[in-house]
Amino acid sequence: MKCAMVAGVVAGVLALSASGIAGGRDDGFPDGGKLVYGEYGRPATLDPITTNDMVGLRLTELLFNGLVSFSPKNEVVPDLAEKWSVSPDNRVYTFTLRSDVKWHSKAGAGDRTVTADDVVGTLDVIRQPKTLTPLKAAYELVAEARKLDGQTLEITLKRPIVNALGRLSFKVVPTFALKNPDFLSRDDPFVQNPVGSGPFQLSQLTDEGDVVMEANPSYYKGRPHLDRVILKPFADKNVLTQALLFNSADMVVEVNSRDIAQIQGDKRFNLYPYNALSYAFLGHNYRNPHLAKKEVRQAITFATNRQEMLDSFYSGRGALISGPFAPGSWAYNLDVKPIPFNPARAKELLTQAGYTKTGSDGYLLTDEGKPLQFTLKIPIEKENETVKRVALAFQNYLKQVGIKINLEFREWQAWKQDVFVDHDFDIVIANWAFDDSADISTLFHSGETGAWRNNFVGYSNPEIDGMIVEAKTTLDREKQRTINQRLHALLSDEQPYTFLWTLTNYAAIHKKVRHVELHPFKLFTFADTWYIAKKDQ
Amino acid sequence: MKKRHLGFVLLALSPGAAQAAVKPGLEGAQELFRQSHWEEARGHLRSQWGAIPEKDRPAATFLIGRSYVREAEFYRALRRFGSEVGLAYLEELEAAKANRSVVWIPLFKGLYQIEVDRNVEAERLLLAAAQSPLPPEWKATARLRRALALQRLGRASEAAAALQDQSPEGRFCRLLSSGMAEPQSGPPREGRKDKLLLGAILYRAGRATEAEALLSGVNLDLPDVEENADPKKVLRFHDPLLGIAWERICWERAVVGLKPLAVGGAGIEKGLAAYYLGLSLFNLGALGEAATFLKEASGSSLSPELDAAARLLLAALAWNGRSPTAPELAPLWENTRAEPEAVLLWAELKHGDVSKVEPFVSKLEPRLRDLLAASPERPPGSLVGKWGLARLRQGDDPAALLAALSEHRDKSNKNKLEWNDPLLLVALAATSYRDHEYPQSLETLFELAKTFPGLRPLQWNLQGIYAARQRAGGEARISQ
Repeated sequence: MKCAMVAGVVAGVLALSASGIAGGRDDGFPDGGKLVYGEYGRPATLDPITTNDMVGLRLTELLFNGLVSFSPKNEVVPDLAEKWSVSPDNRVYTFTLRSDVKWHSKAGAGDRTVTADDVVGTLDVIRQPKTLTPLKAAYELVAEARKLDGQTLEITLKRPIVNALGRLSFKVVPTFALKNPDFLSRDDPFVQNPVGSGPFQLSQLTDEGDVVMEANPSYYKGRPHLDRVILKPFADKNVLTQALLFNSADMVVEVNSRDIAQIQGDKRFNLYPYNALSYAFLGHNYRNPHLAKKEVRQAITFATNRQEMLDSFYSGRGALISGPFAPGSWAYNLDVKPIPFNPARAKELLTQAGYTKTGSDGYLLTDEGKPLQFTLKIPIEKENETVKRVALAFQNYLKQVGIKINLEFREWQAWKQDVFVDHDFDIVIANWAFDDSADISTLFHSGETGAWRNNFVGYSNPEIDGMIVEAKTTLDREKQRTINQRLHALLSDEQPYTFLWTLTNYAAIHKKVRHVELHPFKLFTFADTWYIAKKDQ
Repeated sequence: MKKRHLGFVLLALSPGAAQAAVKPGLEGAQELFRQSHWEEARGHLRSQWGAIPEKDRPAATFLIGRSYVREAEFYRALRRFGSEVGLAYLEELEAAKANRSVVWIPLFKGLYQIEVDRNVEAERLLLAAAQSPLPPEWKATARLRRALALQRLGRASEAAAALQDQSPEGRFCRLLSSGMAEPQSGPPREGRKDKLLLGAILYRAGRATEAEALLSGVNLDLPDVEENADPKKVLRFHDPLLGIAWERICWERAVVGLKPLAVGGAGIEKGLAAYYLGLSLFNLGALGEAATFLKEASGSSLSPELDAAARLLLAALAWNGRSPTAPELAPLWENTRAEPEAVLLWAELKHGDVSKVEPFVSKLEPRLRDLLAASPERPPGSLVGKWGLARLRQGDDPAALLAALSEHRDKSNKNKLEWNDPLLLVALAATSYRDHEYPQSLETLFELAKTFPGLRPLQWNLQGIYAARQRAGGEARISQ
């Protein structure tokens, strides 16, 4: 098959500039020092395949590499693959890997080069049914992945798609280091003790839950400047800010919105806008027959004074949203307005749904004569006052229209088990964050309802499924936009979620850390170039 | 003495971060003005006009006029940003194979090219568009606007015939090209485009009441063309001429609001009103009238910064379209360079038709930076915003500019205009766009659009650019 070379000048230049400098950098910046960054919670797994949350995404950005990566301007640039070509029909991608990328020096892995076997093996592991990963849907587009020689491989897509290269930016794992090289499960020791090829390597997991990573001296772009990066988990967002202010952490990845002013006023820190494409939501479990009724879900949204909650608990630092995209997204439908607070309309809808009788306690009754009640499952381990207040306010709003809300607070990992695996909840509160693609397919496609898949609410609508598939497969970006904006309108009407708000998000970093550039979604993509001046180490 | 009086008025009108329950009368309106809720401030005063004490009426009148000036400056910044984005969006559409047969793209691309002074390309594109299978009214648009491009290229004789068009658009183009305001007689117009264009013309003809009646209920956010030949794909196109008309209407409203005070007022407000009236007329191209009021303002007790700005505007008017000589410019620069507003005005003149002031272009940016750095207090957001927009027009590195502008942003309320001046927010949105930070830019516009109508064309076009340029892999992650 004839192939058209498309790896451009940028690719060539980057490949050349990065070659032969492993072990040191020639940028004149000093090595040394450590960066402690505070996260709200610790990831359950440390590998890039089974992890499904933002904490894990950020962490694996430090430990692993992809076939390709992204520049600060979000252009696709080479990473493990130094060049690639694409067939004229845009289906076959042939990648040539760098020959100088080594796996981290751990037992059984040290000094082994990243090969085509690893890349093909990683794709096979992701697609293996026994591997429970939210990535599966993204790689259904792959018809075949095969090794051509030690450093060359070919990935054939089922059909051409928009951003195919970006979608092939998955992190590569050494399949030889897995307990079973064919699949990855959460009981594989690898998920707690991963081996990567990235700028930092896992050194230690402390009893306090700190994830300690050390500079990879053999990193192919050259040893990163920082000696060590430590993820320090916190169970309380308020404490996270205090840790920054009192020097227990050098960085907080998402500053509690009410603390932004205080940190802005402190000359020791820089604030960087981060993670604009995220929003909070209340997810309604369709497996509950009452929540399966559209009128009930709509009534819940009409009954909830979201603006009041945003103003009262977040000082208005954010914006209400009307659908499944953040307002900073290209897919946000500006014609769709947020459902207004209207308890009277909520009551009408509940009546329409058949809830006409009220018990002595004031709550509506189901056909079985029981109060109409739901459990709101909240992922907070300790006292997070803000989320707790949101939950209490929600409980109170719903009481006004005759719905009883029971609150259940769960530790983050237990919450994820309940929500993603057991689907044991009525309503949940959480946040989604997206990259630039605004891909909501895993959240609402009916094929994504299994364990550790993102459609945990069990939403199923053939019309939406069809639109999701079409939006993903069209090569026409304006068509993609139109379909997404229609999805926005439809889902706003369907209310599988009560779409809440997008908050003002900033990362705060101590000024001693220099040359800081953040990826707007993955955060640590460029952390290998960060440094701390000798005097500040 | 001079400073004390002025201080009172400017302090009352300077933007601030306070947010309080709205008090009655002038005080409440000033609070709303400080929070950049200009429309609400005016509504507040008008609804209580009878209860406002006589002594407060000049300040109240001034506030109404001043708020329109601020609005006009805001929409001017938005229009410029919108033109850049609009053209880039059309270029993205043009580059996509799927849009090859869309006849609207060359037409609208030509319209946006005029707005960014690419008149040679615009003329060619619009000539072709006028012969393409467009509906007749849009072919007429292509002919008219080509004539506008021709005129700007100095080929007035070739433009003359087309510019005789008697449609509202033709009349508006004549207003732009020659300052002639020819209100249409006959039945009232129904279309929003016609209403906006005629509204601007009626205003210039001194028929403000009729203009306002025509403009009532006009929706600035609608597209001019919606193409959906494929039912699963909607393309929207927006004519940039409407943004120009709307900006003019804001200046005209300022003129109507300020004139009574500038003519018949007294005290500090009279001088201030004369200055802002002169500025508004200057921006409307009514140069003779502008000179009258600027002279009056210059002779009153203006603050040093407005006095310098008035002198600069008067000088520009005296040049009357010719290039000033170095001996004219040098003392003027020396006399005005200490005032940030005046230096920003130099930057503005550099891009206008008034004059070429190249010898001083290189001095502007460092001077502005020095002035801002030397400011003992946090400089006003409007000033920083204008500074940012001027630097952006000069082609400064957007990443560095973004960092500099962010220093002046209240980050905890990052997109709220109660805490961040609307001009600063436009500057941040425009710089974020240039820096490929599309979500940041869209997020800011989303918040501004809650208060200001007419942002939708810009939002739509920017969303389209982002959709075309994003290369991400499709990840969604959950968090607490």
